[in-house]
Amino acid sequence: MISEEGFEDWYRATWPTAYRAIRAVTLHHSDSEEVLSEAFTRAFEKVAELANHPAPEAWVIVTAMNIYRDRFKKLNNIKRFFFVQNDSYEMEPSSLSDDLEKALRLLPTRQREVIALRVILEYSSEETANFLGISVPTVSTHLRRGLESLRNGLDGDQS
Amino acid sequence: MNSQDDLLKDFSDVTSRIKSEFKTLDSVAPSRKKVLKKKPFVLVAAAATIAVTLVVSPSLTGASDVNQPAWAAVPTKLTEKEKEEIKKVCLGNDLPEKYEVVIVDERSERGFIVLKGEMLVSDEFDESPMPGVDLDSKMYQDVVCAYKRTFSGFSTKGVFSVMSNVSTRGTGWGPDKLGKTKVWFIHSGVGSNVVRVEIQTAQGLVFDASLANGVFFAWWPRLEEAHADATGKTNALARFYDKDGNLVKTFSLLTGDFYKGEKMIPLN
Repeated sequence: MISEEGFEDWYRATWPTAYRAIRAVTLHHSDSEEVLSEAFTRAFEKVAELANHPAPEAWVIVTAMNIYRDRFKKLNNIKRFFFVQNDSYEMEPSSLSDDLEKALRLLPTRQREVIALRVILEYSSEETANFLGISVPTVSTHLRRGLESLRNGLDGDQS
Repeated sequence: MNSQDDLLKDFSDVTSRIKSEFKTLDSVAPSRKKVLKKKPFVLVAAAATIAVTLVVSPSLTGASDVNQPAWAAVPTKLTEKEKEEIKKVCLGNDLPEKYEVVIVDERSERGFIVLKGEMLVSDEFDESPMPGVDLDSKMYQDVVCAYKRTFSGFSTKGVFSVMSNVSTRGTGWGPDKLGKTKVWFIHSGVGSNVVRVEIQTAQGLVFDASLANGVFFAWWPRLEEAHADATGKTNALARFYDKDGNLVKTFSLLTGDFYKGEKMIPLN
């Protein structure tokens, strides 16, 4: 259970895991920090409500995903491209292999969200469906398509 | 075990790779002060959009120790006679038959010629423009010559795409004595259905690449690291259009990437 007093500790403890999940969606360090920062800010504003939330970590992650989706769905690909570029010279603390990042980049956002929750954070199919507001079969579809695409992309680069 | 667990098991090679790589991604929570600070996401994007609308200023001068050549979105229209002269000046009388000039692209103060043939290797340049390791993807820069403006040449063989930055010494070359310059360039083969290739760079330039003989080539001034990431890479978009103006394909390109022909070329 989180509280206003314990928020700082919870925030610091939750950040690294949440960051990895969001990074899988945005594929960009600065974007990840930005949307995650805003999600934690919202969590702080709603700390009383979140006190009884069964999975506040998931709440922050999904909120960050929604922030990312809301922001970028308003922008067409050109704007998104420029946004990424204008921020991209900030130092990346660490990065993925080129082939994995390329393969992930080709996936639709929803597939990356499902992979972040199901594979990286190892939430169950039901939890993932609940967090994303979609059905379990839909999670399965996104998961299968995403993993197939990744396998093809990684195989392609290895050939 | 439910079907999703079976699925994850079937794809354990992929999931284990994802898990292991993401475990290495470290990020420490920023101080709370930073958490509460919001960056102007949309404003940044909007500013970039304006840059696209404005397209290009007549002269792009980077704030660096490297001189940047003036650059124009629309290349100089060269006559066939001029192209022949450039070819002679740049390649000399001993031009081997094996070298075919496929593109001559002059934009304001600098031009490039693209050759097709055997590899040319030279120590004329400060850094190798070659990021790729695929033999068919290699492209070497060799020719530097003066024909009204300074031209640099690339030679290539095969069908490929590679984008890189190139630093030319060029001091003393050409009437403008441009000195050391740095540019980004992109080069690839395209399908015969493609009649126009539009490039959009990270720094907000939108312009048509030169396209001829099944090859397109584009270059633009490198404004140092402002448009490159921490590793010095930069991105560009290449959009391919057919004769009816339909967008055939859009490709996002990252410096250092190379794409084999089948991935890059919009097929008929």
